[in-house]
Amino acid sequence: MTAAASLATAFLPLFVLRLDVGFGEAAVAPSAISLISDRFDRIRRPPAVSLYMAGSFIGAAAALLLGAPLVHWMETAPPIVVGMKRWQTTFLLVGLPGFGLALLMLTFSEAARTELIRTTITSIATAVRFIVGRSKAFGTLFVGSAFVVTLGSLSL
Amino acid sequence: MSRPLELQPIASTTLRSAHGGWYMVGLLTLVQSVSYIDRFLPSPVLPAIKRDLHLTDFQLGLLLGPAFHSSMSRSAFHSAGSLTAYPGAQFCPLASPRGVR
Repeated sequence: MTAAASLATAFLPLFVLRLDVGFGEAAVAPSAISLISDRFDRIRRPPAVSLYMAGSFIGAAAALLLGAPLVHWMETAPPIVVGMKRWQTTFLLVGLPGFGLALLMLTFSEAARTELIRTTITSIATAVRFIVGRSKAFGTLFVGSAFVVTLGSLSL
Repeated sequence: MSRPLELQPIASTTLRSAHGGWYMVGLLTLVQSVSYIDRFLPSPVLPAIKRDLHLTDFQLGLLLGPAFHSSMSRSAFHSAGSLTAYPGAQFCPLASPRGVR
Protein backbone atom coordinates (compact mmCIF):
# COMPACT_ATOMS: atom_id res chain seq x y z
CA MET A 1 0.00 0.00 0.00
CA THR A 2 2.91 2.28 0.68
CA ALA A 3 4.26 1.42 -2.76
CA ALA A 4 0.82 2.05 -4.22
CA ALA A 5 0.74 5.46 -2.54
CA SER A 6 3.53 6.47 -4.91
CA LEU A 7 0.90 6.50 -7.67
CA ALA A 8 -1.37 8.92 -5.84
CA THR A 9 -1.73 12.26 -7.56
CA ALA A 10 -4.50 13.75 -5.46
CA PHE A 11 -5.57 14.00 -1.85
CA LEU A 12 -8.34 11.41 -1.85
CA PRO A 13 -6.40 8.46 -3.31
CA LEU A 14 -3.54 9.17 -0.92
CA PHE A 15 -5.99 9.35 1.99
CA VAL A 16 -7.61 6.03 1.04
CA LEU A 17 -4.23 4.34 0.59
CA ARG A 18 -3.14 5.56 4.01
CA LEU A 19 -6.36 4.09 5.42
CA ASP A 20 -5.45 0.78 3.78
CA VAL A 21 -2.03 0.83 5.40
CA GLY A 22 -3.83 1.27 8.71
CA PHE A 23 -6.12 -1.67 8.00
CA GLY A 24 -3.20 -3.88 7.15
CA GLU A 25 -1.16 -2.90 10.16
CA ALA A 26 -4.05 -3.47 12.53
CA ALA A 27 -3.86 -7.18 11.64
CA VAL A 28 -0.13 -7.45 12.33
CA ALA A 29 -0.09 -7.33 16.12
CA PRO A 30 -2.89 -9.85 16.90
CA SER A 31 -1.46 -12.30 14.35
CA ALA A 32 2.10 -11.91 15.61
CA ILE A 33 1.14 -12.38 19.26
CA SER A 34 -0.89 -15.43 18.32
CA LEU A 35 1.99 -16.95 16.33
CA ILE A 36 4.48 -16.28 19.12
CA SER A 37 2.34 -17.70 21.89
CA ASP A 38 1.82 -20.91 19.93
CA ARG A 39 5.55 -21.33 19.45
CA PHE A 40 6.82 -20.29 22.87
CA ASP A 41 5.64 -21.59 26.21
CA ARG A 42 4.74 -19.26 29.07
CA ILE A 43 8.30 -19.07 30.34
CA ARG A 44 9.97 -18.23 27.04
CA ARG A 45 7.15 -16.05 25.73
CA PRO A 46 8.06 -12.69 27.37
CA PRO A 47 11.51 -12.31 25.72
CA ALA A 48 10.04 -13.31 22.36
CA VAL A 49 7.19 -10.80 22.64
CA SER A 50 9.62 -8.12 23.85
CA LEU A 51 11.84 -8.58 20.82
CA TYR A 52 8.82 -8.40 18.53
CA MET A 53 7.55 -5.23 20.25
CA ALA A 54 10.98 -3.65 19.88
CA GLY A 55 10.32 -3.78 16.13
CA SER A 56 7.93 -0.81 16.51
CA PHE A 57 10.65 1.40 17.91
CA ILE A 58 13.25 0.19 15.44
CA GLY A 59 10.83 0.99 12.62
CA ALA A 60 9.75 4.38 13.97
CA ALA A 61 13.37 5.39 14.53
CA ALA A 62 14.43 4.10 11.11
CA ALA A 63 11.63 5.98 9.33
CA LEU A 64 12.74 9.29 10.80
CA LEU A 65 16.51 8.71 10.94
CA LEU A 66 16.83 7.25 7.45
CA GLY A 67 13.79 8.94 5.92
CA ALA A 68 15.17 12.44 6.18
CA PRO A 69 18.54 11.67 4.52
CA LEU A 70 16.67 9.66 1.87
CA VAL A 71 14.45 12.64 1.08
CA HIS A 72 17.46 14.94 1.02
CA TRP A 73 19.32 12.58 -1.31
CA MET A 74 16.30 12.35 -3.60
CA GLU A 75 16.04 16.14 -3.77
CA THR A 76 19.59 16.44 -5.04
CA ALA A 77 20.01 13.28 -7.14
CA PRO A 78 18.51 12.94 -10.62
CA PRO A 79 15.04 11.37 -10.64
CA ILE A 80 15.17 7.56 -10.39
CA VAL A 81 11.80 6.93 -11.95
CA VAL A 82 11.16 9.37 -14.76
CA GLY A 83 7.86 11.20 -14.52
CA MET A 84 7.45 10.52 -10.82
CA LYS A 85 7.63 13.15 -8.14
CA ARG A 86 10.41 12.56 -5.65
CA TRP A 87 8.14 11.93 -2.69
CA GLN A 88 6.32 9.36 -4.83
CA THR A 89 9.62 7.61 -5.52
CA THR A 90 10.30 7.63 -1.78
CA PHE A 91 7.03 5.78 -1.13
CA LEU A 92 7.85 3.32 -3.91
CA LEU A 93 11.39 2.59 -2.67
CA VAL A 94 10.25 2.15 0.91
CA GLY A 95 7.21 0.09 -0.02
CA LEU A 96 8.91 -2.45 -2.27
CA PRO A 97 10.92 -4.41 0.35
CA GLY A 98 7.59 -5.29 1.96
CA PHE A 99 6.85 -7.72 -0.87
CA GLY A 100 10.09 -9.60 -0.25
CA LEU A 101 9.31 -9.73 3.45
CA ALA A 102 5.85 -11.10 2.71
CA LEU A 103 7.48 -13.97 0.77
CA LEU A 104 9.89 -14.63 3.65
CA MET A 105 6.91 -15.01 5.95
CA LEU A 106 6.07 -18.23 4.08
CA THR A 107 9.36 -19.79 5.15
CA PHE A 108 8.38 -20.81 8.67
CA SER A 109 5.74 -23.27 9.71
CA GLU A 110 3.05 -22.52 12.22
CA ALA A 111 3.18 -24.37 15.50
CA ALA A 112 0.11 -26.25 16.60
CA ARG A 113 -2.21 -24.36 18.89
CA THR A 114 -1.69 -25.42 22.44
CA GLU A 115 -3.88 -23.01 24.32
CA LEU A 116 -7.28 -21.89 23.25
CA ILE A 117 -9.86 -19.62 24.73
CA ARG A 118 -12.84 -21.93 24.80
CA THR A 119 -16.01 -20.16 23.95
CA THR A 120 -19.55 -21.30 24.45
CA ILE A 121 -20.99 -18.25 22.72
CA THR A 122 -18.87 -16.90 19.92
CA SER A 123 -19.99 -13.32 19.78
CA ILE A 124 -18.63 -9.88 20.48
CA ALA A 125 -21.04 -9.60 23.43
CA THR A 126 -19.39 -12.60 25.11
CA ALA A 127 -15.97 -11.13 24.53
CA VAL A 128 -17.11 -7.80 26.00
CA ARG A 129 -18.54 -9.60 29.06
CA PHE A 130 -15.25 -11.47 29.45
CA ILE A 131 -13.33 -8.21 29.43
CA VAL A 132 -15.79 -6.34 31.68
CA GLY A 133 -15.68 -9.21 34.16
CA ARG A 134 -11.94 -8.65 34.43
CA SER A 135 -12.16 -4.88 34.30
CA LYS A 136 -9.34 -4.29 36.78
CA ALA A 137 -6.79 -6.15 34.68
CA PHE A 138 -8.04 -4.99 31.29
CA GLY A 139 -8.80 -1.47 32.55
CA THR A 140 -5.30 -0.79 33.79
CA LEU A 141 -3.82 -2.19 30.57
CA PHE A 142 -6.22 -0.10 28.47
CA VAL A 143 -5.64 3.15 30.35
CA GLY A 144 -1.91 2.50 30.56
CA SER A 145 -1.46 1.87 26.85
CA ALA A 146 -3.69 4.86 26.04
CA PHE A 147 -1.33 7.08 28.04
CA VAL A 148 1.73 5.56 26.39
CA VAL A 149 0.35 6.31 22.92
CA THR A 150 -0.77 9.81 23.93
CA LEU A 151 2.64 10.67 25.33
CA GLY A 152 4.34 9.11 22.32
CA SER A 153 2.18 11.11 19.91
CA LEU A 154 2.92 14.39 21.66
CA SER A 155 6.54 14.15 20.69
CA LEU A 156 5.58 14.00 17.02
CA MET B 1 -21.88 -21.33 32.00
CA SER B 2 -20.55 -19.30 34.89
CA ARG B 3 -17.40 -18.61 32.90
CA PRO B 4 -18.19 -18.26 29.21
CA LEU B 5 -14.53 -18.16 28.26
CA GLU B 6 -11.64 -19.94 29.79
CA LEU B 7 -8.08 -20.66 28.89
CA GLN B 8 -7.75 -24.30 28.16
CA PRO B 9 -4.58 -26.23 27.34
CA ILE B 10 -5.33 -28.63 24.52
CA ALA B 11 -1.94 -30.29 24.40
CA SER B 12 0.76 -31.28 26.83
CA THR B 13 2.06 -28.36 28.84
CA THR B 14 5.66 -29.52 28.70
CA LEU B 15 8.17 -26.97 27.47
CA ARG B 16 7.80 -26.77 23.75
CA SER B 17 10.83 -26.75 21.59
CA ALA B 18 11.60 -23.27 20.38
CA HIS B 19 13.19 -24.73 17.26
CA GLY B 20 12.89 -22.19 14.51
CA GLY B 21 10.91 -19.97 16.85
CA TRP B 22 13.50 -17.25 17.04
CA TYR B 23 13.72 -17.15 13.27
CA MET B 24 9.99 -16.50 13.24
CA VAL B 25 10.27 -13.85 15.94
CA GLY B 26 13.06 -12.20 13.96
CA LEU B 27 10.85 -12.03 10.89
CA LEU B 28 7.91 -10.73 12.91
CA THR B 29 10.17 -8.06 14.39
CA LEU B 30 11.17 -7.09 10.86
CA VAL B 31 7.51 -6.97 9.81
CA GLN B 32 6.69 -4.79 12.78
CA SER B 33 9.51 -2.38 12.03
CA VAL B 34 8.53 -2.17 8.37
CA SER B 35 4.95 -1.43 9.37
CA TYR B 36 6.19 1.38 11.61
CA ILE B 37 8.39 2.70 8.83
CA ASP B 38 5.25 2.82 6.68
CA ARG B 39 3.43 4.57 9.49
CA PHE B 40 6.00 7.31 9.96
CA LEU B 41 7.25 7.66 6.40
CA PRO B 42 4.87 10.54 5.51
CA SER B 43 6.44 12.77 8.17
CA PRO B 44 9.72 13.48 6.34
CA VAL B 45 8.09 13.79 2.90
CA LEU B 46 5.14 15.88 4.08
CA PRO B 47 6.40 19.27 2.84
CA ALA B 48 6.91 17.83 -0.66
CA ILE B 49 3.44 16.26 -0.70
CA LYS B 50 1.88 19.51 0.47
CA ARG B 51 3.64 21.44 -2.29
CA ASP B 52 2.84 19.00 -5.10
CA LEU B 53 -0.78 18.26 -4.32
CA HIS B 54 -1.60 21.77 -3.07
CA LEU B 55 -2.97 20.43 0.20
CA THR B 56 -4.35 22.46 3.05
CA ASP B 57 -3.04 22.02 6.57
CA PHE B 58 -6.30 20.31 7.46
CA GLN B 59 -5.80 17.73 4.71
CA LEU B 60 -2.26 17.13 5.91
CA GLY B 61 -3.69 16.62 9.36
CA LEU B 62 -6.08 14.02 8.01
CA LEU B 63 -3.22 12.20 6.31
CA LEU B 64 -0.86 12.22 9.23
CA GLY B 65 -3.29 12.16 12.09
CA PRO B 66 -3.19 14.67 14.90
CA ALA B 67 -4.53 13.55 18.24
CA PHE B 68 -8.16 14.45 17.86
CA HIS B 69 -9.18 11.74 20.16
CA SER B 70 -6.69 12.07 22.94
CA SER B 71 -5.59 8.47 22.88
CA MET B 72 -6.89 5.83 20.49
CA SER B 73 -7.68 7.42 17.18
CA ARG B 74 -5.07 9.57 15.62
CA SER B 75 -7.27 10.53 12.67
CA ALA B 76 -8.02 8.31 9.73
CA PHE B 77 -4.96 6.17 10.03
CA HIS B 78 -5.52 5.26 13.62
CA SER B 79 -9.28 5.01 13.44
CA ALA B 80 -8.79 2.40 10.75
CA GLY B 81 -6.39 0.70 13.10
CA SER B 82 -8.72 0.70 16.06
CA LEU B 83 -11.69 -0.34 13.93
CA THR B 84 -9.96 -3.37 12.50
CA ALA B 85 -7.94 -4.40 15.54
CA TYR B 86 -10.96 -6.01 17.13
CA PRO B 87 -12.33 -7.92 14.15
CA GLY B 88 -8.72 -8.79 13.35
CA ALA B 89 -8.22 -10.24 16.79
CA GLN B 90 -11.48 -12.15 16.44
CA PHE B 91 -10.27 -13.91 13.32
CA CYS B 92 -7.06 -15.07 14.95
CA PRO B 93 -8.46 -17.96 16.98
CA LEU B 94 -10.63 -19.04 14.06
CA ALA B 95 -8.24 -18.98 11.14
CA SER B 96 -4.58 -19.43 10.64
CA PRO B 97 -3.05 -16.17 11.83
CA ARG B 98 -0.86 -16.06 8.77
CA GLY B 99 -3.95 -16.08 6.61
CA VAL B 100 -5.19 -12.98 8.39
CA ARG B 101 -1.98 -11.15 7.71
